[in-house]
Amino acid sequence: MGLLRLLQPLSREAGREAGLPPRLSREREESSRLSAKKPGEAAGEGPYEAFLRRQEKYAAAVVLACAISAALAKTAWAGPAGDAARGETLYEACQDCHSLDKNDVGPRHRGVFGRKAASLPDYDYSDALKSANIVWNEETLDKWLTDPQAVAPGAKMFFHLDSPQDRADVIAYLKERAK
Amino acid sequence: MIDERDGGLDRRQTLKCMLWAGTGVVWTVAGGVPSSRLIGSAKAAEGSFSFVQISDSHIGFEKPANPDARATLSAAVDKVLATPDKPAFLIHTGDISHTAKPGEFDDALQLIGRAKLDVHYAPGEHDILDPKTRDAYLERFGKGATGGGWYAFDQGGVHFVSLNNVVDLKKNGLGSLGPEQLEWLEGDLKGRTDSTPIVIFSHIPLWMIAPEWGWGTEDSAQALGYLSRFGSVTVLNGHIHQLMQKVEGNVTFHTARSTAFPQPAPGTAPAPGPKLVPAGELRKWLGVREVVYSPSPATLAVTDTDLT
Repeated sequence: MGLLRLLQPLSREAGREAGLPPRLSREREESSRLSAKKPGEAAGEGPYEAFLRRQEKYAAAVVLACAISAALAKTAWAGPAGDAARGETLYEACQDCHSLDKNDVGPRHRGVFGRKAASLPDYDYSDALKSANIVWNEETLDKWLTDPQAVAPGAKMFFHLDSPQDRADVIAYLKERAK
Repeated sequence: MIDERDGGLDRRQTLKCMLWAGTGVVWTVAGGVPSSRLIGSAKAAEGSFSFVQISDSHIGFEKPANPDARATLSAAVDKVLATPDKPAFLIHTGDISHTAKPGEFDDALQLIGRAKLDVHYAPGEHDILDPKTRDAYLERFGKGATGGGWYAFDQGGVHFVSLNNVVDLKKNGLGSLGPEQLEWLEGDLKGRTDSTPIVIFSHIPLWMIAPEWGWGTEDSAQALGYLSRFGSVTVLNGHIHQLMQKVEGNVTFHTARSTAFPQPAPGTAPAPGPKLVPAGELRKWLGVREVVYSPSPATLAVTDTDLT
């Protein structure tokens, strides 16, 4: 569904509520010339009224879809799908400073997905990350792996991955195989 | 200078190394113009001496790229012990430890101590992780050093300078020297004759190899400006775990292999980091470097050898 569709005037009622005069469009002039009723037209209702009713139903559906999308946006990630197996290979490079089960130059990674940043009690985090107030999910990890210093200036980490697919693969590895 | 023999650097290994890495070249500086010849034609001259560079031993690293960094550092020390003419000293260009733990430094020093040579260290970013480990590093290695751990010494007419470029990392992890160290360097070099051979060593390369990976030093141009009047400047670095060299005016730059694990060449991988190589091949990717100085004319012959 094209996003621009949401920007069309939705209904005559909506126009009335907004204090707008009734719209006499070319559509109406044309539709008023039509006399034959079509399926879906209620008794006493002309083609234009039926058209508006369909638009209103459509508008309601769009509003519902938007609400569902907004709800899902809290958990869904719009970036590329990650390949955990490829991510495991890419994770070799992360091992300059990280491992799954042992704190290293950086903190251990097992269980990092869904964890609050700077929350391991036995790792000495930078003040920058301690005050960043982040929960690690696809979106926050993607930003972090793009440029950690942009997320938390003064953080210990400088390592970054420029390719969105590389980042998605490493994130999939951490999510699926480093539970 | 290099004879056929068992162990250590025999001619065959040297040729192999030269072919593979493009090293084994003697740089002669005459009238400010460097010319090169093969190391085999270099002859030991009176007043010459050698030293060995080891780098990036990462004691404490125990992951698939090298499950036993202690064993490979030990193999590097064996190479030093097999050098026919005893080196005057060692330099270690940083990442002595992997996580700056006291026990890792203890182990590294014990292993390197088998060489029974003076060792001059420069810190890596794995040796100084934060203010606490910086203080611990300076407490252990910084005796006689200035400020943040930089120092100079002389040997056989060559002036050596050890720099610290790992404390205030810049974009993507680029090294930096900082104004205090640069000011000290300028003062240290002032008054020395242009003909004094200079050897500068630090962990992160002092030339821009791959800024997107942090493989360079943000303010190195200023340091190199102070060095431009000298006829022979050799810059020795670590950090990137592979051999690279470059000549710029009178300055030759060399990066060293690690004794722990290789890293990818820039542009061949999405990011820097430990590179997994086939089992049994690891020691081909690791190495030590011998540098032989001959005074007349001033030459520094650099030879890299792997740990096989």
